[in-house]
Amino acid sequence: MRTKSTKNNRVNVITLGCSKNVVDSEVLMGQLLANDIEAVHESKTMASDIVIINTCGFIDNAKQESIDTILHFAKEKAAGKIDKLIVTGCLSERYKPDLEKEIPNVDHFFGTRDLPLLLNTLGADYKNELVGERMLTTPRHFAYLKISEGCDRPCSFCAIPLMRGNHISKPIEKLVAEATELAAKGTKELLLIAQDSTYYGLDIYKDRKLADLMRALAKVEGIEWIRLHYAFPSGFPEDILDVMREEPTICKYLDIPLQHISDAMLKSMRRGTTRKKTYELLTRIREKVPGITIRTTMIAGYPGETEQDHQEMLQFIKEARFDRLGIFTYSHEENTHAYSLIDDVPEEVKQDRVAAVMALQQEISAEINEAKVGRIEKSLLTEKRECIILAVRKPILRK
Amino acid sequence: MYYIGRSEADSPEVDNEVLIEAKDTYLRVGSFVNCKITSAGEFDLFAVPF
Repeated sequence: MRTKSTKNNRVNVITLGCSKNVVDSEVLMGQLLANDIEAVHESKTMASDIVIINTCGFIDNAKQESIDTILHFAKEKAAGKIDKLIVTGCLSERYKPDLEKEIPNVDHFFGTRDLPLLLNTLGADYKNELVGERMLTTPRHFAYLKISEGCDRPCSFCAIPLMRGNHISKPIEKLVAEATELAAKGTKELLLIAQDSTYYGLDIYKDRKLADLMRALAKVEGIEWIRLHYAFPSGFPEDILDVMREEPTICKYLDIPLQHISDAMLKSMRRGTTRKKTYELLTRIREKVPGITIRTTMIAGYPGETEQDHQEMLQFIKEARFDRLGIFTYSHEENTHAYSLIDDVPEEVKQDRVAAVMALQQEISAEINEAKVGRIEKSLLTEKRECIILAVRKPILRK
Repeated sequence: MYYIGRSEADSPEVDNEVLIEAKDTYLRVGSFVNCKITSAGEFDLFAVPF
């Protein structure tokens, strides 16, 4: 048995799932560096003695990807290629006892709020004074800014509150300080993320304060674009629309997950909104912010979804003409409210409905794109290529 | 030389891109540039520096 000190051993951090997880990995790596432990992100070239997998536990495909990744590295450990394997993040928060039983060769499983414990197993200490400091993994010109943790929403299908706990907003002054530091490092574009960004402030200020936060961030020098993601539609703070219209650095861009339009589905999903309110909100958003780009996500095949519900969704997409749209098949998640319902839409019907929505959206996207020909657009350059053929498209679907 | 860019309507990782053909212009990755959209595909836009 080797008795190497973990100090100075290189740690390779693997991140699965969403942008919130990316930020958690960046915080973890920032802490490792502050403890003089070398950290790399998803390195395929540099040998590492220690691997930390930051997992996702959201829906079926994502969970499978996390499990496959753990198994891959468990095999590497069995073969003596790595010394230590640590699993953290949402999947292990949700399924720690099962994972411990089923997957050998993992040294430790940690949950989403166990960073100090995780660091201890590497002989490192959690440093409070580092709050907000991260080792960035995104290209230099953009960075995520996580404005809050957790979620207080009761959406029936969603397992996130089980893994991420209640909503906790970060104070405005801390986020401004974080943004200022990012700008000093070269960040030009900030992506505001959270589980539910429009809830921002309700916990610590007893009031929705997203507009105040956005105005404060708009003043940070060096940041040229600020983009809002994960804006929940119910209780939508419409004063953010004035900020979008008035502040030049706030992108006229909104990611607003709507999930469905049929009243029966919205009610069962416990979304706190209706078909009528959704149509009205979209109208007001476009009136107040002319030219805004709207992205949404939908779920196909939720329990009890009828052909008529699906047709209603198609009609809605035709009328609303979203600039971007992602759609997922419903995933039946244990310990969620919807788990007590019967997952009665057959898998092939779910897939057909996703395909129908995507085909419709592709037509709409093509028309929206065509209308942009001849326009002048300010663009942030992200890559240089010798040949355009190499620029292969990504699918529109998103996590 | 070609550049990949994003307009105000494009968030990284999830949205479309703007593919910019810059034959005689030197451009720097990480900077902003005004470009004219010359054609549109189903997903991405094609452009030249303006």
